[in-house]
Amino acid sequence: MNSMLINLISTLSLGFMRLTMMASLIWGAAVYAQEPLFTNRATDLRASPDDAAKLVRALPAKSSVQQLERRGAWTRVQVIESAEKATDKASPKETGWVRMMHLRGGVVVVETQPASSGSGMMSSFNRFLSGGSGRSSTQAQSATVGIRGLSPEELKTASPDAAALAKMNTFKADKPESERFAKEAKLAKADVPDLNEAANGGRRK
Amino acid sequence: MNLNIKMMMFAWVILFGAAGSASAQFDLGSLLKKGIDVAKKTTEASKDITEPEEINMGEGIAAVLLGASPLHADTNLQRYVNKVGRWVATQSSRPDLPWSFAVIDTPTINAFALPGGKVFVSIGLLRMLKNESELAGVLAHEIGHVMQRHQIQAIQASKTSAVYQDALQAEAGERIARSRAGSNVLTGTLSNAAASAGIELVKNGFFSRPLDRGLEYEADRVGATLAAKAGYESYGLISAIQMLSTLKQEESGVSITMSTHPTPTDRLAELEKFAPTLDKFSSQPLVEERFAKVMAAVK
Repeated sequence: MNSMLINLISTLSLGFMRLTMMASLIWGAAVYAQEPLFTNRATDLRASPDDAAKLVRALPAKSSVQQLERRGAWTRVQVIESAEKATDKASPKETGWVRMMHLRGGVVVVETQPASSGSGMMSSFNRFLSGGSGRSSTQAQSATVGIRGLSPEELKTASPDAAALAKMNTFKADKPESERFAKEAKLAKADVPDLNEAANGGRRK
Repeated sequence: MNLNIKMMMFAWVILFGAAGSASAQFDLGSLLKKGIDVAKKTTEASKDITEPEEINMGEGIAAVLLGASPLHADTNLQRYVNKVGRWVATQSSRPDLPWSFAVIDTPTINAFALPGGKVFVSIGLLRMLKNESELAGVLAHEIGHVMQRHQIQAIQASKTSAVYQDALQAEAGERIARSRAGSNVLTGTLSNAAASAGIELVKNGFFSRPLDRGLEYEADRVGATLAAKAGYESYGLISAIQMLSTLKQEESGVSITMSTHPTPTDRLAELEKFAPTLDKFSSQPLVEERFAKVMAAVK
């Protein structure tokens, strides 16, 4: 009974999120409903975006969270489910900051454990995370491909559009304009070490 | 290259290209049929593609892409993306290329870098981004490809590249001759040779062939560096890739870009190696307001 309820709530809230996302797309709203993420390792939920900040709670791997905002290397989240035993779901849904690199989207691999309360919850999370979709991927693909898609086939048979190219050139920004644009948002050039050089052992490519 | 063949091609272009009209088609295909030995040309494929040739090729490819997917109608959006892109490109090692950015009107999630400095992003991708820092990161990755000449090197390594080069070189020669003669050479218009080269390159899989995954990781590293150098907080590109990791098969399956890149998970694992350096620049501006304002106005 409990896992059915979780399943229902999961499906409904995901459905709601998708609905808001659709609405945002239709109305061009600036607020983007975001897909939930999950922790790809055991990590910490902290009170502020800092390794030294107060610990709110430990988050095990495969906990699912809702993104609220991001600040640099940290994301403020609300815990959806913490992937622990059934008793844990009774605690309030904490918010806090997690290192953004510890979060991923996508489908969690479904556990194939024998039925227990733990794996029952896991299967619900997995269906939640994979969008509750029982559709086959090919079936879903044919539904979207017709809508002004861009396929390799279309590209290979396209004719060059010189007029569109000319129009594209009219949108160009020159250097001084881009510099003013940067100043407006208080963007200042920074002296950043070349990550690529670092990867190539200090050799410039 | 055999001087006789060069002269013949030059004459061909003068004869058919001098009118300057679009109807005077420079038919690369028929040139090949006329028996120019492609195999012979491969020995010269090691000759570097010059920057004017690179820019010409990019224009041709761009024209074909625009033939398949139109420009988005929101001029304000186009100009905004150009300002972000130009600012980031100015931080690169090729700041003075004729950098040009465009939003194409397709709901699929795609971004393309073309030789010579043209970068395309789809409205589908833009709608998934949350702030200007993420946009800068995405553009920076593409700028990174151009900066490192990834596609040009791939084209150069291909068997037919010498044919394009000769065609473009002949075209360039013809333009110089005309400008010396005082005729009004229009810049920025699509030359027949570039258009033909563009068609051939796209037919030969320019958009559908993945680059070596090492080059994608390189573009990620260069991109993250450029965006931070431009003053943005340093996790924008990473955040955009994280967003890509949330896409379902039905969304990523129709994305040419996603089909030709390493998985978001792999890309994130690679970039995570640089977290200690990136952390130092993670408090720079995110720039949300003007991004939200521009996107809110898009129909």
